[in-house]
Amino acid sequence: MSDVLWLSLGVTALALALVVPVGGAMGWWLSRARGPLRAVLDACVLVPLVLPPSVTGYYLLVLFGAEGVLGAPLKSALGVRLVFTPVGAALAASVVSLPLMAKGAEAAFLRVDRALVEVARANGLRAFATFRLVTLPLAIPGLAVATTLTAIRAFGEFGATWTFAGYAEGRTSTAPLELYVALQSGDDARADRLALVMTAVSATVAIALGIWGRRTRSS
Amino acid sequence: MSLVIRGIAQAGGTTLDIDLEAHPGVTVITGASAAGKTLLLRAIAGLHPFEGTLTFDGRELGALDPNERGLGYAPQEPATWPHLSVSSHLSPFADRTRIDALVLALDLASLLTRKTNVLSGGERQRLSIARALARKPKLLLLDEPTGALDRATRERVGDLIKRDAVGATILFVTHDLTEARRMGDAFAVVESGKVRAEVRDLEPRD
Repeated sequence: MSDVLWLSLGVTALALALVVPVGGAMGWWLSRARGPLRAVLDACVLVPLVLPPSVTGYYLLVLFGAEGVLGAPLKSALGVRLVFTPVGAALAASVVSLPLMAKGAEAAFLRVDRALVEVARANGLRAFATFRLVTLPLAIPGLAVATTLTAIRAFGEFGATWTFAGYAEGRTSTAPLELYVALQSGDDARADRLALVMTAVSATVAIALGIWGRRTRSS
Repeated sequence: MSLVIRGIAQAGGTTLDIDLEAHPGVTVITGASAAGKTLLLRAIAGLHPFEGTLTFDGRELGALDPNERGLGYAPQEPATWPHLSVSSHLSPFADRTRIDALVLALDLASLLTRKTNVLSGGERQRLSIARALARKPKLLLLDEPTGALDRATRERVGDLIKRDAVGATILFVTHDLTEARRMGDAFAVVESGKVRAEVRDLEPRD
């Protein structure tokens, strides 16, 4: 049981390492951009949220599968294979949870008072210095919420992982996949335990987020 | 070191026809509420669109980003950064000696380590002035910088600005006629969507 939990947490951490910088940068850009290009990216970011996860997994397979558009050259040039690997599971979890990070980050950056940024720029701070000194610290509470929701979504990811990364015991067998396999094999006791563990982890994170949010608002 | 601005600034529903030259010293900007005084300063700072000629000391500013215009800006609302201490507000702009001198002159020395979300309105306004002065800019845009200060502090801060920014071109927005007369070397009025230099001293207005 603990192996499954550690694998799930490892895959979630790997997914976060990928999706937090990418989704955060997308959110920052979306919060500033105007025009048709923004509308296009905004729609693209939302695609994994509106597509059934199994369809997202299918597209990942088309792209990164052993014979995929990118997967084949990856395998032949670098010997890298994503299907049936923890990295593949993390990639599936990343793509599915990307909308939560990108849209959450966009909201976090939009909440930063424009006047506080303008006064920094008008007094001579360059764009990057303004971002580091003013924009990013003020967006941190919103970014933390977005990261937490992304983590919960990645931790619970099933459909895209199953379709793309497949089930390989000890490699892609995250808790949601193990729960499904336990049910299919009639091991109800194991399914009960897995459901309980996942509920406990998710509820703990949700409660901690709520407490932290109240403290942030009152400080 | 003269500022020349001729053209049209726009923001929301307000359009401002500007024809103004300001020279070293304090040019006081007056006018009714919502006449466009803030718009004038924000257009010079590059924070609102402006069409026309905008030069300072012969250098065209119009195409530059706000941070490249070499100015100091204190907005009407102090816009202090709530997550930073008083010291951290000034350290990006000045060295320790300069910071010490400014906080001493503006009665902020005892608040150096305080975050600004616990400061009073007057303290935040003085900090906003210190931030605008910190780099010793040659062009200062001060939008009602003493509005939250009592009369005595207002006079002291006004004197400090004139003393500290000697040789700089200062645009100083105020509603207070007494302060306007005390601070102003020249005057300009924002009225009926236009900014014009006022050649005479200010007459009482409504």
